[in-house]
Amino acid sequence: MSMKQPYDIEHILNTEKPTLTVGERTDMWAKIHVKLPASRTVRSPYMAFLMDYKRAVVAGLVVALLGGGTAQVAEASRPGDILFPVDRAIEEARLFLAQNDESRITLKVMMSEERLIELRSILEEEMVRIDTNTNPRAEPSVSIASTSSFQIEADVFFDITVVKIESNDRKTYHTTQAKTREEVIDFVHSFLLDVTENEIDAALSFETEDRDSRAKDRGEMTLKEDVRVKNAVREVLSNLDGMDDDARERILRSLEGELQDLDVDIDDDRVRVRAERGKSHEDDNDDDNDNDEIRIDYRDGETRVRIEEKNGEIRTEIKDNRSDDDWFHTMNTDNSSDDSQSNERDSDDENENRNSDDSDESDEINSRDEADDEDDNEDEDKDEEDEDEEKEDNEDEDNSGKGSSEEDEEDEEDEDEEVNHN
Amino acid sequence: MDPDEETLKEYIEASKRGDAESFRRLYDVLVDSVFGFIQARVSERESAIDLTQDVFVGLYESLVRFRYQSRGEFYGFVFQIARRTLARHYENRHTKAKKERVQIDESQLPDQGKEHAGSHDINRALRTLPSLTQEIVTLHHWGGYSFSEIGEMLHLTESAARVRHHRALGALRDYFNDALT
Repeated sequence: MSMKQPYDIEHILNTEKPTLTVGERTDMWAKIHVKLPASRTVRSPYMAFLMDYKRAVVAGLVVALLGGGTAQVAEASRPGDILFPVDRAIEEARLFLAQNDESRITLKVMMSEERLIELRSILEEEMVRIDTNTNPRAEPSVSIASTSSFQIEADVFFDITVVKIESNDRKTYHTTQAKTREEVIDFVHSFLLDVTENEIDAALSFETEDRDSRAKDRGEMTLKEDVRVKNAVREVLSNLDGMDDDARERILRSLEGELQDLDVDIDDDRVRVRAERGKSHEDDNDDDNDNDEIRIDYRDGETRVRIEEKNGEIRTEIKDNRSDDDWFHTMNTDNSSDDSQSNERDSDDENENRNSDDSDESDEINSRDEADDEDDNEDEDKDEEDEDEEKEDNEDEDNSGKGSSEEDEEDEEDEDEEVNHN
Repeated sequence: MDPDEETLKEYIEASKRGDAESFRRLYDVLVDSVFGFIQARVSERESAIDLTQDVFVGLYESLVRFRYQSRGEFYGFVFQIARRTLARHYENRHTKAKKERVQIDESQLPDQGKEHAGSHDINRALRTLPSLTQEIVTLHHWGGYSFSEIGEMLHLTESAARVRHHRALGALRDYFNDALT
């Protein structure tokens, strides 16, 4: 019979404790240290899809430019969708991108694109507000009697007449088929209670415009948001310095795509952008939709850049202000357009004169910018969140144009991965 | 051995920011416990050392997302990573063996294999215990953690940890007694 030894388990446990020698400990640390990631930030995949972004956006914009409805354009010109993950990546990019010019430009491209996303969210917010602009039948009559002053502006366009009533900083837009001053007064009187026809007459500025109305005319953009849009656009443009023509044009294209329904005029000391869509003014005789012309004039210091798309071609021209007639082409797919070019130069001058009339209004707008900026920034942050959610929802619904570019992206990424493994 | 809570917090925060020196301090505090914990589950010493390294590398990465609440909770976090590392290790061995079409025979399993010299087969004894109980024992005796801390780490009450520990010692004694007969 064997004797049961009382095992002092605790003693055994304590003596059998696995231990490391000092040397082992040090070696282990050395190996660990080497494996610690060098920077806390995760390498962003933005580099990979920046390549793909270019293809996707160009494809998207080509779709946008070759005509088609608003829906198509909106869908095509959504760099935000592709860039959604860029948001974080941009911050990280700032960390390690200070190194060289090429990186800096990439960074600027990224920042521009972020601004474009914000721009889009501002615009999307604005589209919602169209509904709040008055329809006289939908909203109770506007009462003005107690206000100190009010202004009425009526603009008669080809297609419609827009009546803008402004009182106490509140603007309401109305549309009517009225064509004469009397008819407009009647119209306004029908829903502006508490005001006599004489008072309306006194407050009314009546203009006839020789064109169709645009979204902006119809108040589909309120003044406050003009400011935000301008700020966003200004930021986009301010990043364009030093970019190569390719990237610059791409950004401007995206910008134009965002603004295409809005015809926003932006005035700045350095930069002026005007994007117009639809019939150009000279082509009154031409009803062909294929002649939709998109032009962006962009001036930066001594240089003027014009990018235009006409009949499917994209042309970029850079003009050096120092010598007025020195147009030179940087990208010209159609060499036989010299005649039309000189026509456009004339119209450009015309348009510039027209725009200088707007500059007074813009100066006024500028002074209100600062006050609004703080609020806007908060709003923009929220907008981005909302927009991001919306984008995620919309991604499932997107159809062909975007779908194929996403596939391209994925293919590219797979290729990149394969390359890396090799 | 253990730094006070404030210091520990500092090390953790600094490590989160990427300060390797502070992480070294954490390493010094933890390495023995972690090694003991792992060695109890893995027969070869080399494997235990490698895995311990993995645990610390993983810890460094996971710290980014870690929010300090209490000391016990932090230790629990560390050993969670250790468990995860172990699980991956077993999985890999199993998968690797399958791939090479090697029969998983008994000698490959962690239970068997080389024991370090001079042992009273304590590791083998420990492996007869249920997993949670085994952890309580190794954390207490080889990690040096109090039952209060262990309770926090393993989501037990302190008294539950004590009770299990006590029973575990009994079971181990029985194991050695039985081994003799």
